Order: sequence, then structure tokens, then C-alpha cells
Amino acid sequence: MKKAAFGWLLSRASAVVLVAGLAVHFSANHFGRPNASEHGIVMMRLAHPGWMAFYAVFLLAIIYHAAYGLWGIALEYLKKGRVLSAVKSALVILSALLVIAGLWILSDTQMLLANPPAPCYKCHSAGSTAGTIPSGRALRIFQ
Amino acid sequence: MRYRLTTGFFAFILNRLSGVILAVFLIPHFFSLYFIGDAARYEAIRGFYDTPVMRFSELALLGIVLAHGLNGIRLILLEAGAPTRLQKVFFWTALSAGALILLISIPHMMWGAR
Ligand code: HEM
Repeated sequence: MKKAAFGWLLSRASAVVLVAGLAVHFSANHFGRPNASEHGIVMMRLAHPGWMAFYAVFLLAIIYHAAYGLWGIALEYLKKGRVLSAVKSALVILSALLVIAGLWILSDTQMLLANPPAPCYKCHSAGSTAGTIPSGRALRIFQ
Repeated sequence: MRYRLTTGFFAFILNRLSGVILAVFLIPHFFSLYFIGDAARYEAIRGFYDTPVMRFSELALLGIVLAHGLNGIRLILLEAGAPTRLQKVFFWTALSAGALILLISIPHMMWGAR
């Protein structure tokens, strides 16, 4: 397969991943105020490897998709030359930084889980609804 | 070529604008999660997002996600060979599905019903 066609296919594949990923992400973290994104609850969720895997895939898909989309816009408006190469470098650097930041955030949660300040996140979360993860009915399978 | 305000052109502008807004939004969104290793700091940042104004902004962001995502599915279907005569049907289907999802989300995102 040609390189350009593969990149294109990947952008469409990532878009499909994002549809499912955004539905899960919004219902888990942005639905059900006030505590859906409370620290203890996020921690309990991320104690499960399924959620870690989900966020790793979601992260890569979103960064790839956004960078590919912005690059497409740049190609449309800019002629080949210095400015276009500068945009390309900026996009590559920014994407790399965001992937690193995302992985850093994920690894930070695992360090905290391995080394919890009292109380244990896996048993109860600090100051939240003890022992339950308010992340929507469909997501209870992860508990 | 002269630009004309057809459904297709409107959909194109909508997709482009929403895509760029979402991409820019990723940066502050990651930044606010950066302090997850420090519960107190994380909670302080989250407190800022848990006000009516910010909740409403988040709802607006969901609207942008829905506009871009559902319109994106429409584009993927057309690219994959779905008949172009269905173009407008797809557009209006996406729009009404998005409006419906957004409507259902209002109580969940504004007041925390589930
Ligand atoms: C709900 C899932 C999503 C779907 C189905 C989707 C689908 C698409 C499709 C099909 C395109 C191609 C437009 C074209 O090449 O003409 C596109 C472009 C784009 N998307 Fe997404 N997308 C989604 C989520 C996102 C998110 C979350 C972001 C930002 C982080 C994003 C950023 C972009 C950008 C910047 C473009 C380029 C816009 C343009 O070329 O006019 N997308 N998207």
C-alpha cells in the first residue's frame, strides 16, 4: 500500500475508534455530576487494566487523527516551502509532546495506585461515594 | 470556483471549524489532567470546571464533538461509496441524531442526573 493511502486509512480508522472512545469517555468522565471525574473515582477506574488500555488507545487515536486533520488543512492552504515544513515540524513536535504528556498522566495514576496515600483507592475512594463507580450502567462491567 | 452556500459546503465548513476547535482544546484538557498524581491539586483544578458556566461550556464542547463526529461518519460513508444522492439525508440524520443526544445529555452534564 502507498504511504499516503495508509495514512489516510489510519485517519479514518482512528475516527471510528474516536466515535466509540468519545462515547465511553463522556459517559464515564463528564456525565453524572458532581463526582464522575473526582480524583478517587478516576483512580478506582484506572486501577483496572481495561481502562488503562482504553485510555492508551484513545490517546493515540485522538492525537493521530487531529494531527492528520490539521496537516491536511495546512496542505490545502500552503504551498510547498519553508512555512509548510515549519508547520509539519510544529505538528510533529506538538503531537509527540501530547502523547508523552498523556502517557505520563497515565503512568502517574499507576504510581499513585502502587503507592497509595491512605485510603486505598481500590477499596474506597477519598471522600466520594464509597466503593461505587458512578460511570453509567454500561460501564459497570469494568468494576 | 465560486463558493456557494449549499448543504455540502456548510457541512464542510462545519467539519473543518469543529475539527480545529477540538484539536486546540486538547492542550488545556491535557494540562488540567497533568496534576493527577497530586490529589489536592487535581481537585482544585476540577473545582474550577465544576461551576455552572464551565459545565455549560462542556456541554457546548459535546455539541461540537457531536457535530464533527456524526458529520465525520457521514463523510466516511460517502467516501466508502454510499450513494451521493443520500448526502442530504445523511446530513439531516446526523444533525437530528446529534441534537437528540445533546438534549438527552443536558441533565447528565448540568445537574448530574443519571
Ligand atoms: C467522533 C469521532 C470523530 C470522527 C468520526 C471524525 C471524523 C473525521 C473525518 C472523516 C475527517 C475528514 C475530513 C476531510 O478529510 O475532509 C475529520 C477531520 C478532522 N478531524 Fe475528526 N473526527 C472525530 C473526532 C475528532 C476529534 C476528537 C478531533 C480533535 C481532537 C478531530 C480533529 C479533526 C481535524 C483537525 C480534522 C481536519 C478538518 C478538515 O480537514 O477540514 N476529530 N474528522
